Amino acid sequence: MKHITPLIVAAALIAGFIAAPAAANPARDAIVAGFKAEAQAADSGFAGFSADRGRAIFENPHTGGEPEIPSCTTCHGKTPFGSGETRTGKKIDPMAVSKNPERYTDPEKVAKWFRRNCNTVLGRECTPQEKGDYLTFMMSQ
Amino acid sequence: MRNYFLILLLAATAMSALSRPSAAETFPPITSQAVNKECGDCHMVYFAEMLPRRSWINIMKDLSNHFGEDASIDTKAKSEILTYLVNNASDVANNRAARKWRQGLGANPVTERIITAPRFIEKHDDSEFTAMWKKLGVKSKSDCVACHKEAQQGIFED
Ligand code: HEC
Ligand code: HEC
Ligand code: HEC
Repeated sequence: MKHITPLIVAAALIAGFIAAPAAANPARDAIVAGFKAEAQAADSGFAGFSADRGRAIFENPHTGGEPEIPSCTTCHGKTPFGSGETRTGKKIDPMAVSKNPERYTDPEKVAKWFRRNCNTVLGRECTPQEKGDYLTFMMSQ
Repeated sequence: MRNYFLILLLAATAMSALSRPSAAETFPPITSQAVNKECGDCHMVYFAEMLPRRSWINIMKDLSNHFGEDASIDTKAKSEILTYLVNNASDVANNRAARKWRQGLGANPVTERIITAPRFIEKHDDSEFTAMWKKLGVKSKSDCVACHKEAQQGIFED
């Protein structure tokens, strides 16, 4: 019996991890917190991130970037739940955190792709507010 | 028993090697970690032997405008990648694939495209290619993997 107790505790812990909402990932939360600090520093009136604005960034066509690539959905697919395809035809896994729990957990990867893809689609870097909105949307999906 | 299994395994390996058409064109594996990490997210990782030195230098000059997309990377990875690509370019490396891909290049103006290299045009300028293109609904000629399933392993069969 003595030996079984730790096992049960471990099993419960693991079950807890699996059952926990996908959004509760410390690495991802730290990335969002970083954008929050930057957004606050840039704008004293910062009032939090919005999933609705994040959805608009993802779905809407933009101007200012490569005309043939007007939207995040051009590569990432119509919805965050489906897979996308690069312009050369390589598959991209879904962007929604619920579909793909490994998304947005590597700060270098996140920074690199925001820089690249915002430049390609919008012709400029995204603001910390925009990045936080986008992540908030994807974490709600 | 162990030996018996080993023999079976060897036989299977030999057979699968044989079943590959002898005409298949092969490339040595890409040994640069930086290339494998940074150059394979948007398309397959292309083989350095497919383009001459001058093309790789040109491609690596401005990754922030890479065929209409921003593919920028940090400086350290960039110099590592350039070194590898240049050292294994079609007019530098001395393996069978490189020798094929440098044929006919001459003093042509720089091409940044594998799909405009003489070797590519020679092999994809017929009805077999057009039929396959239509049948598979391929999105881009640069999507080698769509038609050559083992392209990333360096095997191009015809
Ligand atoms: C030209 C194609 C393309 C477009 C357009 C595009 N992306 Fe991406 N994106 C990619 C590829 C390829 C990856 C890397 C592959 C992967 O992570 O599965 C990626 C990865 C990302 C990542 C990193 C994901 C992670 O797991 O950390 C973020 C964030 C991202 N994109 C955001 C955006 C946003 C925001 C837009 C619109 C402004 C956008 N992308 C538009 C191709 C694109
Ligand atoms: C952000 C996405 C992205 C990344 C990362 C990327 N590429 Fe590309 N690359 C493209 C696109 C888009 C094309 C145009 C392909 C097409 O027309 O289908 C292309 C084309 C190419 C071609 C020409 C292929 C042809 O059409 O013959 C070469 C060579 C190439 N890339 C090399 C590289 C190298 C080397 C790296 C790493 C340093 C790299 N790419 C990283 C997006 C990317
Ligand atoms: C739409 C399909 C398609 C695409 C895309 C495609 N190929 Fe091919 N490829 C073919 C066909 C079909 C042949 C056989 C042509 C022949 O021998 O007449 C071929 C032949 C070849 C050969 C010669 C093989 C041999 O043993 O002689 C090479 C090398 C090759 N392709 C490389 C590439 C590369 C590199 C790319 C991507 C930049 C590519 N192909 C994209 C269909 C395709």
